[in-house]
Amino acid sequence: MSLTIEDASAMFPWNDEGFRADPYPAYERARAIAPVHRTTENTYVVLNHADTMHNAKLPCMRIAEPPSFAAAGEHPHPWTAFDNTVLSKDAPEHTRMRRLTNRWLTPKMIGTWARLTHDFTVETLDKLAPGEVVDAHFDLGVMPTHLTMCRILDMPVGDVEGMFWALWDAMLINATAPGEGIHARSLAGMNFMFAETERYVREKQSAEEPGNGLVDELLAAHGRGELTWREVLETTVLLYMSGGPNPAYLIGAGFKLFAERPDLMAEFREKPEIREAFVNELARLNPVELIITRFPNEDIEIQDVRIPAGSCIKYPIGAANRDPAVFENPNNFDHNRPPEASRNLTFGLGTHACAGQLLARAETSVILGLIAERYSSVELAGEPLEVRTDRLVAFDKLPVRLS
Amino acid sequence: MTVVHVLYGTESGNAEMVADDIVAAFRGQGFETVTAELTDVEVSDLAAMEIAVFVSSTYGEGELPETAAPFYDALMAERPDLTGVRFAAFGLGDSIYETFNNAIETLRRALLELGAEQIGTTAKHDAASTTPATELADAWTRDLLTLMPA
Repeated sequence: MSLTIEDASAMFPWNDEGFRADPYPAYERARAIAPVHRTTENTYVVLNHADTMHNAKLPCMRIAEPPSFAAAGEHPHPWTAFDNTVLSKDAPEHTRMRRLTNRWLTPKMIGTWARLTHDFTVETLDKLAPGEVVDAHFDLGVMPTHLTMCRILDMPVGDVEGMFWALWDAMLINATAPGEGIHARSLAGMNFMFAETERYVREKQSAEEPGNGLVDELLAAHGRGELTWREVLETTVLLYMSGGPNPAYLIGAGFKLFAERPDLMAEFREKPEIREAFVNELARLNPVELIITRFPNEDIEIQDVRIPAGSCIKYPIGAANRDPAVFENPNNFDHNRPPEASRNLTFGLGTHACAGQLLARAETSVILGLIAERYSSVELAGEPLEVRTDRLVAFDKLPVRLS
Repeated sequence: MTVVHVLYGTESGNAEMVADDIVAAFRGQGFETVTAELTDVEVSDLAAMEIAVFVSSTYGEGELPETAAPFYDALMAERPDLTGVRFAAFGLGDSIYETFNNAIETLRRALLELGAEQIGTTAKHDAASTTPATELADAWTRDLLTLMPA
């Protein structure tokens, strides 16, 4: 069935509060009509799992936004600040930049880092008085994972809350239709993150003895003339600002699930062998980034819809992750799904898959494991607060009582 | 006891994990195993190896991973006579790309060209499949063991 652009567009009210809070019924309705919709002259939305998993990682699907998509009069786009990182580069430059971090995030290294996350979490839990309310989002999600990233990078802890909200502000501009004033707010957030990070990197650069972290390796490569200063700085900001906020949403979702489903908390405690699948299912239902966008550099066809080169294709992660053709009862938590019905888009896919995904999964498993082992229950001590755009979600507050 | 050298080239550490899985599957089967990353292997040492298991991912646009490329370059430059060396090959890739498992093929062709003999079939793990690499590594090594009695 073919809809007009107006009708298709009306099915995705990206800025509507209700849609943002729960886009899944809208995705379901749209998918029942067609798996691919054209929502503007040059924007397409792909809704099914099979096409997304196949098409989104085709080599022609470029991550760099063509100049034709830049909003008039609002230059530069705040995220051009990351033009020299894996976020904006396609192969072969992407390969070169990705190699800077690969060695630090191998499956083997993750074991070392996750032990640090464990120790940081224990420190916080040891300080809690019985019955004390703790913010599971910030104190048990953002902090231990940010501290872990600080060790990987060998960076100081810094202004964690300031960086968290600066990142949130910076991300606002990536909404499909950011409102008035968002460009300035996003730019201010970006500038804050860069200024904070650059200050610390400069301090490291002028230190008598180099440190032993990833940033020191970047600085050494800069010293040898292999990396520009911008490449060092942008890659450092990217890792420094995302090490806490991104896994924190997954961890927070785990706390909420434990509070709602004590049976699952008990299973997580008693069966360590299910933890990997459990965290994967948690990720399927709770993506932190909500839409992947790609720009094909050649004409392609998805489900008989011809998409010209240079178009924008939106792949809503929640749509692929809850496609009933793949996931039976897609809105239900079920960590016993077979492997062919557990692959999801939460950490992206292909060459641009999240570089830190193994770390985020391991951190989530370690923190939830500690909670399940040390406590018999998680109780929400207030309504969890979330902030959302159509592109991103984060917890603001998640007060819990552990007993 | 026959020594099996498990030699891997990796980018993100998955080939390293597969190398560990292969070593685990060799355990208790009457072989001694030595694991090494290809950056730590001299081409001149290769001729003395009775059995070498190569594990490599494919990276970028069909290239050898960063830690295998220098070894391959040296192999092509030095061109040692590998007659008498037996090797097995395990690759990791993603079938969505035209260059699927290009790197292990590149290594395999080079080894054959220099006189080495391949044991068994080349394993090609596909990231687009739902089979975990560990599972394939285990099954493939068990098949391999039937072709090389201790």
